Amino acid sequence: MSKHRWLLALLLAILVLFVSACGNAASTGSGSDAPSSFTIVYQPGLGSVTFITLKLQKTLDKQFPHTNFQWKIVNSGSAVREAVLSNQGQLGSLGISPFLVGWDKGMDWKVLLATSRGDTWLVAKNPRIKTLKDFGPNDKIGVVAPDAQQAIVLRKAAQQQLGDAHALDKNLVAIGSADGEQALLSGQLAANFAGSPFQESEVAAGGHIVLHSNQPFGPVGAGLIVLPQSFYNQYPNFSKTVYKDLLATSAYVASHHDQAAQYLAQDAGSGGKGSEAQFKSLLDSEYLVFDTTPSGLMAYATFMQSIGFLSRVPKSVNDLELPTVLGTGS
Amino acid sequence: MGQQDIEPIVRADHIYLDYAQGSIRGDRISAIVEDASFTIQRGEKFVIIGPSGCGKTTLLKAIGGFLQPLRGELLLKGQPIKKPGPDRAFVFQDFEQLFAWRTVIGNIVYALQAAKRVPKNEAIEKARHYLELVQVAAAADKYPHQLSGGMKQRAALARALALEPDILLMDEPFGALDAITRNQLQLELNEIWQRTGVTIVLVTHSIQEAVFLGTRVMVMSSSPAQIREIVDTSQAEEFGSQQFDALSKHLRSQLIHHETSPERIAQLSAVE
Amino acid sequence: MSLLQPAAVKVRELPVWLRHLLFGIVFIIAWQLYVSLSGASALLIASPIATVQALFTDIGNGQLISATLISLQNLAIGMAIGIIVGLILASLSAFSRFGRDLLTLLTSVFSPLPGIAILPLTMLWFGLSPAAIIFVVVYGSIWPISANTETGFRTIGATTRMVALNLGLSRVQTVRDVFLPAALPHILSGLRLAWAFGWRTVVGAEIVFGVAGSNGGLGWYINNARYFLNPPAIFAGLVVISLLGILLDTFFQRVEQQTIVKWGMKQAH
Repeated sequence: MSKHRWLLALLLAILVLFVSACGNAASTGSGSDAPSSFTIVYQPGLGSVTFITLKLQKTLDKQFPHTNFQWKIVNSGSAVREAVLSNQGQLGSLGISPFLVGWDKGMDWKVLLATSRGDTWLVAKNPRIKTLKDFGPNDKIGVVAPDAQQAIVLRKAAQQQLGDAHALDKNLVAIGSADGEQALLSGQLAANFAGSPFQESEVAAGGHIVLHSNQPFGPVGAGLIVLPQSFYNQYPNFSKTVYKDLLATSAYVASHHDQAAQYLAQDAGSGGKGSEAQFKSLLDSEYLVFDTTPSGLMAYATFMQSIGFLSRVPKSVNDLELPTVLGTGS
Repeated sequence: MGQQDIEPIVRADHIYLDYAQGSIRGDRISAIVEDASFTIQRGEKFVIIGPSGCGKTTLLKAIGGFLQPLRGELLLKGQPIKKPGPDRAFVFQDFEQLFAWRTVIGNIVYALQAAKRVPKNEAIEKARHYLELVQVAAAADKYPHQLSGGMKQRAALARALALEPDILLMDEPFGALDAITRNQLQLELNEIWQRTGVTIVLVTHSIQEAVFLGTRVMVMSSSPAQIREIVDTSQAEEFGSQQFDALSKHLRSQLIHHETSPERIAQLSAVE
Repeated sequence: MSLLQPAAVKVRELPVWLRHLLFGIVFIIAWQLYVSLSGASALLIASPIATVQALFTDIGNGQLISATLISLQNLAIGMAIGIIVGLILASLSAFSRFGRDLLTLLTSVFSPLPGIAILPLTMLWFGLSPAAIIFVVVYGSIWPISANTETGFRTIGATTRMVALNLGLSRVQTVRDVFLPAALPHILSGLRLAWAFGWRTVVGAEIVFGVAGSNGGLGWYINNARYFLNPPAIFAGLVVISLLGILLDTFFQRVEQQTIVKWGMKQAH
């Protein structure tokens, strides 16, 4: 009799596992109008200004009153990827490289549009470190993830300046932007490669710039907003509306720095405890370009494949883009 | 019998013993052992017998150096006893007295090396010698847990003897053994004593053990914890002999009835 | 069900290692079936086959081996220091009232805190260096070792103590030649606990640490695999961690066999 029970328990356990694998799907509504819930996942930093503006203006809420919109902040592009992978989020904002890694492994997400590109700084505090050559084996460099866009830019620079893309790999420490800033200022990191507004406060606290991110690949590489192809196919109207809203918001932010700065100061997703005035001056920077056309996709992909981070290169940008931006960019 | 000319190896002079400070009653200290005086001669087998709680083990421990007298003097070879040492080697009742993590011979070798700084080869030889003496040589390389109770006690005895102590202190060494093994070991102990001449102080519950083994038996009582008397039992060499039975009877009466006249004692002691 | 019964009876009669092996095989087959049939994304859960492939790949390119060695190294150094400190604390406690109070106080305050919890603190003190991880391992080892050793010392029988005194042993001899072996069953328990905590702490700390390269142990290896969306490598890492756990535990069993079991000192658990 106890063997009977044992077998039943085993079968039950297997059944439970099966069922749980099918769970976590974004709850779907009827028809192709709008999903009943929609989660947007983004990272802290100036680059999220478009999202934050969209969120605080409640545009989507008004357009789709029956959809439950959620906004989640995570620490890195990898975390965004995991959220989309496990169906905890649908729309993600992340850099080119974590997007490509996901694409390479077979995730069916594509680019909806781009956000902005700017100049990210590799900031060091120790005067001894002026160029990449000055990093010794114990000098740690903070990046949000080993496959983050900054980390790839660093490897491109390493290839150009040191002859070996992987020369600084052992120096990398995966650390969130805010923690990285603290670690840099307390001396535990030799350098931090985060973004605005962290880099500005690092420099204000005595740091100096060792590398500009707009140099190794040139002024390309806007942050991406991605969406699973299957979702787009299921809700084309909804997705296009989201696209248009983001376009509009992007244009709005580009021409209303004051208002955008206000929104940033209100939201934790801006990544800083800065004042409106500080955010405005960041937005005013000449290096910050609100470019909704993706750029640098092929350049990054080719480079990443050459250093072993991707197993294949897309034939063209068409492989990576949703119909909204299909065929545009580079 | 002429032994009074030679200085005793142990002399106790009105000693009081307790683990704490005893307790004061009027001008008397109340302790486990009160006002005990006795001597122990070299080469004798001095047996201490008494009911539970009478302080016989405490006395043994005091001779062993584990506690100091509250009052009075306890001298070893004329000097006060300061601390324990291998010159007064113990054999306990507890089977755990051998180190479980060493073999039988290893236990003895270690004792010799650590306590008496004997070099290894000499220690091994000595160890074998004493193991043979106690008839445990065949089990030399076994671990204590593999031995029977009787063999463990023999091995412990070998360890104590190997130290070639001035006094062998034995605390009910055969108390945990079955009657047959016990008798066997009593006989063997006697033989060993005859061969080595070591001074033995042995604590026991058993009247027959006291009469058989002891040259003198010190009878103790509890409440108060005093010496009742010291009886010469050196003539009672055989189980069942007349002297043996008489002495046994006498001890029994001492332990249970507390009544015997001094004449009776003289009579018993004078028996040839 | 009666079909299974003769089989079940036979299974019970097989030697232990074979039974465990059979269980392992059944489990692996069930795992493979689940992955193949349930349609769960390969990016969420890796199959046994993919895991084995990842194992071969990363053993071949040395990554997994160097990660394993680094984790083991961190563990070994941390435990060695922890053992010394733990034994000293226990010895102090055995010989002095102050020592005993000190140990009781320290243990009650610190032993509930898991090693990982103090990692942020050690990262502040030691920076992003192996010292931070090793310190956490040391911390995790000290309490089980000192507590168990102290118990071991405390429960040494009165007879054993008297024998040591009777032989006239010095303090050093007493602790080294008598107390330590007598307390060995407890000390080994403490060591076993310390190693178990230590191993879990090392891997956990390495994940939190996020430091690459020369300091990257198995925890870092797994985390890195996560960043590069490589679940087979994550599983491979988990397999290695688990295997090492089993191996080290077996090692302790062997030690026990050679010592306390041989000496008849093994206590019922």
